[in-house]
Amino acid sequence: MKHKYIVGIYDDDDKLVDAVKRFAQEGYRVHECYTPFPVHGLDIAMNLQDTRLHTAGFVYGATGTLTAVITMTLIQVMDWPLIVGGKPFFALPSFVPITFELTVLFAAVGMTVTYYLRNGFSIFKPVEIVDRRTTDCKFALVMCCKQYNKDDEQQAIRQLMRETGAEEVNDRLLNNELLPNLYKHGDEHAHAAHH
Amino acid sequence: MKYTVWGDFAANVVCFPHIPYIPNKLPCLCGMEVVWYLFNLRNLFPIMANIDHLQFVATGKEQRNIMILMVVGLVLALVGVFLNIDNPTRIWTALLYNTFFTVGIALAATFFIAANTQGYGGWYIMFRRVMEAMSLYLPVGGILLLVVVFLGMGHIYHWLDPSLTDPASPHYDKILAGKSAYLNKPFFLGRIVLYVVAWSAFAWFLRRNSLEGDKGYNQKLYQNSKYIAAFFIVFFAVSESMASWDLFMSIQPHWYSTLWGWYNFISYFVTGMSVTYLLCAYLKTRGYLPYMTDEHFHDIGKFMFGFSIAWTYLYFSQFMLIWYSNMPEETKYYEIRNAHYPILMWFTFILNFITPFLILVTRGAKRNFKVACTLGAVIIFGHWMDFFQMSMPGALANMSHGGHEVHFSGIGLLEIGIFCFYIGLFLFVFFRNLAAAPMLPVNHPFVKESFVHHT
Repeated sequence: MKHKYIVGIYDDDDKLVDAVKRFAQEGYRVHECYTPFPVHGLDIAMNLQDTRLHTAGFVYGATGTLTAVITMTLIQVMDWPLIVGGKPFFALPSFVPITFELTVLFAAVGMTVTYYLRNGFSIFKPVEIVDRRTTDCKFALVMCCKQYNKDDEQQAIRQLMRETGAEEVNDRLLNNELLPNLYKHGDEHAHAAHH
Repeated sequence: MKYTVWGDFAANVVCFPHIPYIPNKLPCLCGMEVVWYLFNLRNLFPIMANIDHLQFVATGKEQRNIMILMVVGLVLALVGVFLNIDNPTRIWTALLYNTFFTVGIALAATFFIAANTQGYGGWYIMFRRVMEAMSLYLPVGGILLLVVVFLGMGHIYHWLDPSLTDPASPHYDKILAGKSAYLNKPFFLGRIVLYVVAWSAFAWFLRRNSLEGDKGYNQKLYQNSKYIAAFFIVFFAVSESMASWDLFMSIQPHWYSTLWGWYNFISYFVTGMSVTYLLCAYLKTRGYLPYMTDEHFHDIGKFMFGFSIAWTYLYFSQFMLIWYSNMPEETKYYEIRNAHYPILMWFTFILNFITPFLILVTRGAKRNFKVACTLGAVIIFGHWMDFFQMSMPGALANMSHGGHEVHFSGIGLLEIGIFCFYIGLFLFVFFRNLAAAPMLPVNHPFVKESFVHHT
């Protein structure tokens, strides 16, 4: 099934941020933005929720710490105790470097995998780019036609994009659905007011 | 001070080199007024019209509180001195580590300015005058350090005893005789004088350039500051390491650790960043620094957090390697501390690592004055104890070889009194220097960058 999106192309990051703010004022929910570089203030304008990736990172890290300590204890204290340099079997200081390494490894790999899964990146999935120029010099604002499925709504969106300085307004059909963002609480009310 | 056209011109070219600078062609066409209007920072940031006149004035209450702190500290210290009159080693070592602790805070500020100048850092311009005022404690603290070292070194440094390097003497120490090319009195004193003079000079030069900049924009001053900063960083990298060997590692002259210099530096650098946070937060609530936002505080908080972990890394690395290899000449350091100050060792570790790590790790904590300032105070206190355990146990153990039994004293009235006095003195010098200049170096090329700073 094809998914339809309206894509507005801007040539400046300030214009994009202003356009996003304008869309929010009018009660629309911006589905996604694509920019060649991180734009300060765009996440706030889009009313995006703060990322929870760092919390996940902490959990992965703590898992790594526990794994390291438990594994080393099982091996070096319970299963096969060896006397090394007259140190006790449970020699905590010498466990610390390995614990540290495993913490970092678990956190790094876990966060990377989570990030890829959450964003729908996969080697098995064909890459669909909304507009290739967003990797170079243009800024794209994407609205979802599944949400705004009436013709008059879509016309209003196109009109608003042109008003806010979009160079082009295109329709794009994608095979893969763009994952919806997580919005901050309170966005639903603003959204409901529009209808 | 005057807001100059050329200041704005250069500020725009330096801050926004990617934007074509139109007025290059304009001046001959329409005169300077157009350029001034188009590119005056005040038009972009109307708030700056107020801030460039802002200058710190200490209230009577502040002056009184600082004086009270100093007097109370002095009284406590004197009581401590009378209680420990038979133990001059403790008195002089307490003076030494407290003096160097506050000098270290000023050094951290100087290093911070130099590193940011050299690395095109712009975000700190907002509170650069605060850092400068901190760095100007160097001459005062440096002179005190010289006084303490000149008067008290006989009570602190065991290796100064000439009989140790005399082959005919019964106390002849082969190891110390081998180290005497470096550890001898004239060279030692010369080095300390050199550190103090050079550090103070660098801090003063950086400050002078900053004050000169208030008279009008001058690109040469900025270049000049870059040279000073570069030379300072090179000199500091060597001298801070050597100063930490001279002042603290040589207290136990047989013992050595190759990461001691780093460990020392990070200990006072993280203290310096905490002091910066506390002072900036205080000045912000007083209404100076009105445009310093959460973003700036967040970044100072990151330094506090990051360098707490860096400190732990070095503290633990030093411990683990010595504990693991278990060689007598290395374990001496930890043997004394483990036997007589076990609580101090672990308490320092908890205060300086566990607390900042678990609490400052979140974004909200670094932006919350109450949480971050409490943590700042904890870090300052923790590193003050760290300096105690770097110096005091070794000095007491080594200097008491003259017959009577070693009394390993903990932190008492003496140390707390001297600490209070030094906090008072530091704040006194700090506020005086802060009041001597406007709160914002308006002609610095990176002022705009500081205003729009965003983490």
